[in-house]
Amino acid sequence: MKQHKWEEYGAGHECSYVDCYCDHVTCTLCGVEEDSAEAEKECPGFMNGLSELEREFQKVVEKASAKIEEQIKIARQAIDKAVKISEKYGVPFYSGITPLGMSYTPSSFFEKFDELSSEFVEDKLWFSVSEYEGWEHSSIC
Amino acid sequence: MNEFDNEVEENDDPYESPLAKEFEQVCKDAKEQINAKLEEAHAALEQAEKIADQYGVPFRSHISPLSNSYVPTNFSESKFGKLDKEVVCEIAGVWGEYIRELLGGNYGGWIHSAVCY
Repeated sequence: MKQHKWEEYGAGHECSYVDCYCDHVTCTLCGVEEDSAEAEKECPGFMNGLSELEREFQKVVEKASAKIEEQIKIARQAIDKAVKISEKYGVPFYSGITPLGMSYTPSSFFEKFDELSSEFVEDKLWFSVSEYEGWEHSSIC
Repeated sequence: MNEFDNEVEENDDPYESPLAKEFEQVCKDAKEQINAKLEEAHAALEQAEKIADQYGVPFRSHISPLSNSYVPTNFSESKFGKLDKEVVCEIAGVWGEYIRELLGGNYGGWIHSAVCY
């Protein structure tokens, strides 16, 4: 992979990713311009622009997400099977666990990563984290 | 009027009709299997929560612990669709704001499928 040294994210650059709203970054070595999203994917030095806590969060998200997804997949398959049984017998059923999408926020998130900006967290997780711990709709439905 | 209507009308107590009794037995058989699967799903979701707690990472899931009732597709057209809705709800243990509409309509699925997504 071609090694770029992006102006905004390279060594010595002071702005953090969270506060930087530049649409484009320029490589100080070859002058190539790239949009920030592409630079993030390509540049190994991108992490230089992150604070220690942001780096840690990025790493644990990568590590935990695959494990969590695996469990959700198991749950999904089990519910799909319950639905098939219901269809087979023609009987309705009531369930305390269902295919309704929502987010879960562990209390340890606030202990470990509360200092992170909500924009950064949202960018890494692809959804807005609730200000309350637990399941998002636990008090609604 | 068909044979099922007769069966229901012959008994004063709708819970004691042969069809209700048959429904009760089918529910019992099906629920054993359904509950086993729901327990599996619950355990997996609890495991996901534990992982999130361990790492301190929130997650978004399309499976969640929100109570909901499921009605098989075209339930109203099945033989058990002839039963009184109260009897069905009581025996199957299902409830919810739109349960009657779902039991009586030509559709089925999760009650809250159109509410929360």
